[in-house]
Amino acid sequence: MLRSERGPERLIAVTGIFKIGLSSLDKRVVFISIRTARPFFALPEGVTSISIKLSDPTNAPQVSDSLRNLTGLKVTPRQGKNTSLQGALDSQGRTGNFIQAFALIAIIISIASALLLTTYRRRAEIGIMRAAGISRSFVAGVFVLQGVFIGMIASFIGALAGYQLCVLLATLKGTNGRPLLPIAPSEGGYLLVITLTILGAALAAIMPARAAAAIDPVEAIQQ
Amino acid sequence: MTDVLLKADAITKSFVNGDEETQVLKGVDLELPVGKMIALSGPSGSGKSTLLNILGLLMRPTSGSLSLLGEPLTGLSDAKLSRYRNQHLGFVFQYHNLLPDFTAIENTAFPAAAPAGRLTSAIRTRAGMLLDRVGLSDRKDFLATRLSGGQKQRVAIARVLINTPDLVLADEPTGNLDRETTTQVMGLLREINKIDGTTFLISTHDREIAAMCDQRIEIVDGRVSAID
Repeated sequence: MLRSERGPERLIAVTGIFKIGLSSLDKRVVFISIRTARPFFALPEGVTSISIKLSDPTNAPQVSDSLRNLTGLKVTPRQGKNTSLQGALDSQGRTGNFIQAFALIAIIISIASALLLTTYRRRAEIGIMRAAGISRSFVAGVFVLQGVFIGMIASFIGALAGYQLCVLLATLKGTNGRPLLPIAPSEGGYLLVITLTILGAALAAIMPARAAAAIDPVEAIQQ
Repeated sequence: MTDVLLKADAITKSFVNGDEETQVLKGVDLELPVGKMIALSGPSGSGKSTLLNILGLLMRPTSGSLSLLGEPLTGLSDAKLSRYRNQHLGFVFQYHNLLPDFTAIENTAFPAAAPAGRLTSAIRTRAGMLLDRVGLSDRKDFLATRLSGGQKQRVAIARVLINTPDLVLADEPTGNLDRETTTQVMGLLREINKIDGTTFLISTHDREIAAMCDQRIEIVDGRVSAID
């Protein structure tokens, strides 16, 4: 027996059970034909609302504005309808960005420290090269290139390992047979991550490169 | 063409440590003739190494001027001084100062390879010939760390020759070698001097080495005290 909030009730045969995944919705949502549904709401020809699925949900505010202007109807974007959910999703997105930014900062600091240590260890050799007429800019260039190479190798290995991990995690399923984590390995921003890591590594190499170029060959050789 | 390879006028050098200023060179005037082997001697602390570093464009003087083959060098940028050092000068140090991760041939080649951006086959061939010349034909691909003291010093000499320098500055080049190896190294330097016409300025405490040279310059308390 199906009963609407407006009173009418009718016996309906259940032909299938579909679960959205949210129990509160699953308890009160049924999918029936529009002709069967209309009497429940005393609307012989109308509908209470129309939901539109967009290929890109982030465009909902712009599409709702256009529809409102075209039809004069009340149009509410998904984001406006679920402000708290949207806020939570936005916060989650921002947290993810913060984690990525801090990871990049950690990469820059690690590469800078490793190269600074190399500068210190290779003082004598840099001094020998400077004595042989190798210019400061060449020495600095070597260190920046080293940073870029470290960034390239590390980012390629990291991206490959990350992809493999995502593939592995995507195969994990819960007791209900659904994936434990909603991961799509092909959606990862690998190119952006590789580019940012290489740029970060080049940036990290600047300070060690300047330190290496500033080494006094006389002092370095005497040591 | 001038007979003077390198000319130093009124060179002074002071080092400042806190409030204390130490004047190491107090007005050095010097002319190094082309193609000679010259000994630079003097007691410890007299300023020999400082003078060698200034003449080798590794250190800027506090005052005074320098010219190489008639070209003034005072006030040049670090990049230009580096180029002069690479093309016209060479250094032989007491402790050879080879790059430990490089082989003998790579150590010999790098002063030519670095400005070229890579180790070309022509540079490698020349480095190989120089190692043949200093008697290390069978040690070309040995890492620097696997060579004996005398062999390392011979690689250092081959390295100096890769860019056919006009002047080689040697700071106690045999100070760390036994007498037999010292004789071999000095013989090699003399051979290069005679055949290539390379000028050598050798800082030494050893009277025998000074006696092997064409000219001797003595420096005492930051000033040239005698030239013979």
